[in-house]
Amino acid sequence: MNQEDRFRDFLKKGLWGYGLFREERELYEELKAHLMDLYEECLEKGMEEEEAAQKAMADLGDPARIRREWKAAKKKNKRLPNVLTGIVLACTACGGLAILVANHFDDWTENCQGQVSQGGIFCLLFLIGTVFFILPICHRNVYSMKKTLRFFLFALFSDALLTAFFLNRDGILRYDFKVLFVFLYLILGTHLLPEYDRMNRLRKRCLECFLASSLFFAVLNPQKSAFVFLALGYLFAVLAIRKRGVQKLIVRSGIIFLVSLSLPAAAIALSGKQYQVQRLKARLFLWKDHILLQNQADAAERITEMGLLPQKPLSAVLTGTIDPLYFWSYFWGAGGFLLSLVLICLFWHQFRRMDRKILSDPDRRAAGVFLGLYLFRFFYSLCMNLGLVWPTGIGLPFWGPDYGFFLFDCLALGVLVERLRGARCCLVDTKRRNRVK
Amino acid sequence: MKKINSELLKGSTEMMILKLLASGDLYGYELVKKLAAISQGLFCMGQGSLYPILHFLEEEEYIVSYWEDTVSKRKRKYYRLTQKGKGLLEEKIREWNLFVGGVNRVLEEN
Repeated sequence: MNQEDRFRDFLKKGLWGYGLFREERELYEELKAHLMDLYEECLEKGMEEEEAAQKAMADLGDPARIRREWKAAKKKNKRLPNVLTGIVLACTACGGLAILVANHFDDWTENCQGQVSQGGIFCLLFLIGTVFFILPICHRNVYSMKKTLRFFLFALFSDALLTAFFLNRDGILRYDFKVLFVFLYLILGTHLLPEYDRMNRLRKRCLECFLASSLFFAVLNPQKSAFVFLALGYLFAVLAIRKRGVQKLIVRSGIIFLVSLSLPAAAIALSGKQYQVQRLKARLFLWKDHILLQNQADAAERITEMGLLPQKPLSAVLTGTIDPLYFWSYFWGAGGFLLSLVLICLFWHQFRRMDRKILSDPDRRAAGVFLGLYLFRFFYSLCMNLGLVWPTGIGLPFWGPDYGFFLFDCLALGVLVERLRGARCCLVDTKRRNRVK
Repeated sequence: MKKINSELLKGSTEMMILKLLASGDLYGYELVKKLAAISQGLFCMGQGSLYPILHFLEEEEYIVSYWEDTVSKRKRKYYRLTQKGKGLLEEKIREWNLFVGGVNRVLEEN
């Protein structure tokens, strides 16, 4: 056994090295490097290998005690954010419940006419808004003013967008499965992911349960199931950046998914009145309803409208048989495609630069995932508008009527920019140190 | 040299770490060695105990860290003092001087 293996075993006695998360693994690496430095120093002093190794381990101290001290240091001043994390989760659960009830147990015909009771949605908005506005104020006790301000601005931005997301053109509140994704990624990306390391087991399971349930709601609607893949893509990218054990999380979430959602799934299947549920029953020959079939056709048409180009042929516009205003729709839609393409190219350019100079392997993988998602969405949207694929609500990157995706894109870029800034900082430091040397 | 009581060390370790980092970026092992050298062996803390303090300071944004490869292919994590850390250091030095002055005055009384 070489010394590195020996030191690794020594640290693992103190439970180091088993950590799933970046912070723990980094500290383990630091301690291992420290041990090797101490060992080499002892060898230089003329000690035998065995004696040097023993001296190095003694000088470093008991790994279990270091871990305890490290955990204690981490917990300093962290009680308040953990309480807030609990509040966020509780509000999320209430909001999720409101959506669950509204979407699956309200009458879908009333739903289509916009007559569904909107109390749950108001409640959800209120909860989201309250939590996002309270968080930064409370965080002032813990974090710096600069961080608080940043968080507050983000909360303002996200709440305004969420509210806008719920409003249709007539100013009537509407709801959508996608809000679950929006909310999920807002939390994951801005608050809970950094907090995840500090959560206890119960809170971690609650978060994973929420994640699994949001995917479940999306899968219920076949037209929106494509979102699941996109959402998973973003999740994997974020996880890759954070260097977390993706496989473990998937397996655990899968188990939680099966256990925790079997009852609501059974209730929805038996008593749900949403048209997705009824359609599922129709598919299974349990239900046959002409109104339902008509509604499906209407829904498909409505969703097609989410594609950027109007469904009227361009020739009709040019020959003047259709309202000239339609021309602006084409112009607007083409502009969207062009802008989106330009932004993807810029992203690609930046990605190549990062690849050569700065980013580590996980960062490169994450950037690759983002790029793949953007390209997929671009070409899918193109094919959708050309009538080659089934219409869905998937919008162009950085463009389109879908605020949820707009937020995903902002988040993706934000995460990458943050990483890039850190990596650049390291690069500058390395250069500076090299110059000094 | 006789080592100092660890209870006395507790309140001043953070200040000394910040002070050492004010002179340039250092990694954990370097910090320990520098501390021991400057104090002429007086402050030989349990070396592993340094890291929880460093990580706490980093979390509070008083210092930042970055990884760097070395010639021996061993990665090292360097720490650097931030502007916020400089402010804290000044504050701690001020507090320390007040404390030492007060203690000395008591000890010198008669």
